Amino acid sequence: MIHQPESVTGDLRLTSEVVVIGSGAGGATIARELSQAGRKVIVLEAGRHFTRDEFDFRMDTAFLNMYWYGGQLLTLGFPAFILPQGKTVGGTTTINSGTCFRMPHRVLKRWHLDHGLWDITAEEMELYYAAVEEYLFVQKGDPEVMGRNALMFLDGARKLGLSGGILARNAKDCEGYGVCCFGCPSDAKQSANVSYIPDAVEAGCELYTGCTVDEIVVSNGRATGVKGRLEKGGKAGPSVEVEAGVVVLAAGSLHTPRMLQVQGLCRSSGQVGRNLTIHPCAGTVAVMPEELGNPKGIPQATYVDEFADEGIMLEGGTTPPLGIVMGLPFKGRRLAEFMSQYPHFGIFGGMLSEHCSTGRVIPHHRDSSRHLIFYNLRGEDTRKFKFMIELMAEIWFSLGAKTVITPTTGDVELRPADLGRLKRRKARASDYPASSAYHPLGTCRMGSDPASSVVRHTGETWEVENLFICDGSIVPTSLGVNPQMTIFALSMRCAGFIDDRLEAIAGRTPPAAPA
Amino acid sequence: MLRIVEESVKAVTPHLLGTGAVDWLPDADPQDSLDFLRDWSRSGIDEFTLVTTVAFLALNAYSLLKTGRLFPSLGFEDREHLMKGLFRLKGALGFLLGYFLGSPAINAYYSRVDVQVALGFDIPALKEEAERRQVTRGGEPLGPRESDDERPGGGEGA
Repeated sequence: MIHQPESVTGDLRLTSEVVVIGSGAGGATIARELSQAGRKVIVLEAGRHFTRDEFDFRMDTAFLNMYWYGGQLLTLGFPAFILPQGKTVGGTTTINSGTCFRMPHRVLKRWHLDHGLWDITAEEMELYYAAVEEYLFVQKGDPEVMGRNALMFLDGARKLGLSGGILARNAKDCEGYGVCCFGCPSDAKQSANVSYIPDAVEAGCELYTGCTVDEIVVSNGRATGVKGRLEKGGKAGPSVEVEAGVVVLAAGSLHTPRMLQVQGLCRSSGQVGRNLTIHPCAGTVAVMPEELGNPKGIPQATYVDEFADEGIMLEGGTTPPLGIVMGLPFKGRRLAEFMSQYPHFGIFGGMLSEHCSTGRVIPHHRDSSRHLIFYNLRGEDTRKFKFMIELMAEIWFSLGAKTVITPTTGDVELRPADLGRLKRRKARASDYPASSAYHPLGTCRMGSDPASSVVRHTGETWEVENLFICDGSIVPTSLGVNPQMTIFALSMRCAGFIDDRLEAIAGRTPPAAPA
Repeated sequence: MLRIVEESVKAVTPHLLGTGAVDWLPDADPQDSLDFLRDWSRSGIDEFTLVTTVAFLALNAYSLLKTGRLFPSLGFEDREHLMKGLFRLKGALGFLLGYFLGSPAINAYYSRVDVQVALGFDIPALKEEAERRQVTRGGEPLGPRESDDERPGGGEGA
């Protein structure tokens, strides 16, 4: 059952075999796998539960209701990036674009060589990926509904000799409403809120929304439960205490390390909160001669991966007007006139998918329920970021764009003749003040050495027995692609180890030897 | 929120949005900008509210320096003249100042359903369509649409 805070009238004292903090790709997978295995599972989610009837196509209400801090989460550094993260049942899967990639083999090889994760084999991961893909109806988008924008860009890229294709997505019967990031209004997108969570609940899982966890209870080196509180009408409501055999921390790559840091848990490696990787993104808006039908279509429908090995992936798209206007440098009459051309906008984005820059997450000095994120784009990555923008502009101009808007200070509005100037200018991080980033990973990385990692390959922390972490924070490197499939797959893998641990706790099998 | 900030948020709205520049776009309501900032401040982080406040105080400091009067007390033409000077600021600082001054008005205006419909994003029609075409995990695939007309912008896909 899903309990909204209003339905809870007094303090809660609960017991379960497993308590899961967070209901995103990691937590929801654990909840479903273990509930269907007959385990008693309680999930505590900081956000609230929304259904398709409440998804109103509006970016502003989605940001206020379903994003952490109203979508105002910002990294500190040069440049600063807006880092939108979901705060709702289903986590960021509820408000992402639904893009699905398996982890490239080169990345798994790096996990083996650099992090000693030989226990995670390619063959095993293929099985998990296949299971997740089947469960989530992962398939390439339908060209009939993806919109002209994405297909046109792909066509332009191919004419320039660049490789690319149609993105696979976790969507069934998608009609291309263009608002995946504000909650899918038809439930076509198979985010965790319409897949893993309902199945977990049907199998007996209890999910409490609006619940902030303040403490992981640890006794004699073992996690034994959590303490938290429900939020009612913006104020702290009833307290919540859950006693459990296993605690699963799945609060995402930003809140998971913060919670450990605030309590001083798992800190001997010095790696909690470090090694943050994100995917810095840049968007381009081209004014095309013809109308493109915005925003009807799939927000991320096609990709250009010609430079994926160098860490550049282009993925797009379409976006509603509000998603465009805030990134524009225009004001006044110029803004109104430019936005009036919205039906002609060609919209496409790119991300630095692999790069050397890393960041750090620490608790906020005044408010321990929040975090500060430090991240700087370093030299070579800045050059790649600039090249990514040039590449998108070049593709748009090859398609006949009259103007291309880039996030580059001083070269915001480009005509075809300006492309050479953009290419000649030196790349500086401070030139990109209007960028966003996605896919935070790595802040509680797994590895084979407790001196340099926070969790084992099983997801269990090295330092606190029965405390597992199952979210993007354990992913030890940038993936080079959108991460949700890998988080689903790794969490499915972790669920097996948690089930084994619960057997051991119940005394039915000997405890597994530490990996 | 400081009263001078509230008044400035409203006063700056038509100048940021270019009201009247495109005759088929709906008029802006300055009160919407203020309501948006209040909602945003409640759900967001303190630093954003702080920076936004600083941006509006800076606007008033600039106004005092240039005209001897606070921004909301200026007439429309003087405000427009002042804002045009600010819009000419180059570089990251100019962008960020414009971003924080503009966020309440621009977010509030371009969030409006009537504005989005005018730009071609027909939210009511799409919502109606989505209600008719709901997907269930265990259900059969959706059948063909009743007609091309059922879909707003039907036939536009490549």
